[in-house]
Amino acid sequence: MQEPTFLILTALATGPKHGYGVTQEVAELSEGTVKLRAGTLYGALDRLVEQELVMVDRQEIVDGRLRRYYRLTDAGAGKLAEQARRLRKHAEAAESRLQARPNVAFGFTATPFGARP
Amino acid sequence: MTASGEVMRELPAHVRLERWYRRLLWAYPIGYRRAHGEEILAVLMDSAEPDRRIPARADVVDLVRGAVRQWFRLPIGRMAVVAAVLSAVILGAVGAGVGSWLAWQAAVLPSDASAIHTAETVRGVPLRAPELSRQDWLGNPQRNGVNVADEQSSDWTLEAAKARLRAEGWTPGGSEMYSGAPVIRGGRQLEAASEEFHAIKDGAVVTVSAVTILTPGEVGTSLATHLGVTGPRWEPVAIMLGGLVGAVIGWLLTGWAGYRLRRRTLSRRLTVVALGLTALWLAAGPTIGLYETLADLAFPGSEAQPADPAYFWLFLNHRAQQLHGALAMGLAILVVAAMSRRQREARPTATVT
Repeated sequence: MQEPTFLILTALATGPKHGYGVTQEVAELSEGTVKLRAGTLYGALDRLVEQELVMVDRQEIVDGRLRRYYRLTDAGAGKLAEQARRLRKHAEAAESRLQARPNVAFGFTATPFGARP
Repeated sequence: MTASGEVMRELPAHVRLERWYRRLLWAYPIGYRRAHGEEILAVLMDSAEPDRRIPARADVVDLVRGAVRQWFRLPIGRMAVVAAVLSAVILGAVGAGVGSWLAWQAAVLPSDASAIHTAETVRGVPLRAPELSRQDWLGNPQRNGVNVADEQSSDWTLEAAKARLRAEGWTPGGSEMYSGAPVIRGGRQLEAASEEFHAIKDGAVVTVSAVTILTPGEVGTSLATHLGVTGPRWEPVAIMLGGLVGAVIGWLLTGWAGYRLRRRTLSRRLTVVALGLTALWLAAGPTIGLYETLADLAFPGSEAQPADPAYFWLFLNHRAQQLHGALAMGLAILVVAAMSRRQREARPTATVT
């Protein structure tokens, strides 16, 4: 699962949202690192609807503009949970390996008592 | 106000911006635009900074990229990707063949008179009973040249023929010798040796095939001269363009049929799979042959040879009928797909707030 897809599913986990709401939520979740534009967002949303991970919840017309709300399906929630578990496992594995990594710098190995050759 | 006193009405920024976005949305397929155009527009307008009059470059790139993705979109699953790739390969070959055919329509082909004149230059004496044909040895019609065959001559030599061609401005290449294939004449098996060479002049290629009988008492050489052309100069461009158009059409049609046939009855899908596999089986030989011809055109040998037009595999080769059969199967798949109504997504009714 690609990062934007994961973030879109995460954004919809708390409840139905319209397109602009999803982009705002994704920007917040990614701390501004992922900025979803309309073409990318609807390409991804359309795929997710096709995979039945997301469905149209309702639509409104606000100030003459169509707002279609999308919500996560049960299958979508399951997929998101599975992906979150996998990412957590990978992150834990990475962290434990980083802690076990010897601190090598300039040919010296750092020890609690200082560097030694 | 203008110099003539006319008041210019400046459109508000958001109206101008919306017009720009609407124009950009035309890049999307019509069905997709109808389904999502308004909501994409809403997101674009909501995301735009106030006073923006023209779309940001990043939005333009994103919309165009999204539109291209929608055009080339396939149903989910490996089967659709495999089908699309195969369709693109087969229809790409067909498109390349059509491009080649179009290019050859403008080619100036050798006349019978020039073929006889060249054959006489090769022979060294006027031909007594030349036989002209525009067919290859398999009986396939040839469009790129004329074959001239003559009776046996006893005093013909290859080097003298090359010298005569040189004197007329031809550049002969090296000769290839073949031996061991006996000639059957009057019920007798005669020992023979075959030689072949090519000569080029101003885009024309002459291929001389000589069969010399070595059996004592029967010595003599039969000549077959083929006068052809190396192929129109812009044939490679026409082939590439035709191939690209064919491949794109193949991909798009597969995507269209795939979405039409999604979630249809098992019997309908099995029918389409059977038709598709038959089409693939029929198209395999001619398609491989066509790509081999294209490879020969792209990577010619050191010596110029009369080009076998790529469209040969579409209309003239004895296996072209297989390709026509495959295209008929493809058409049948499209008819089955067209008979299946596209499933519409259930959409809730919009509420106005």
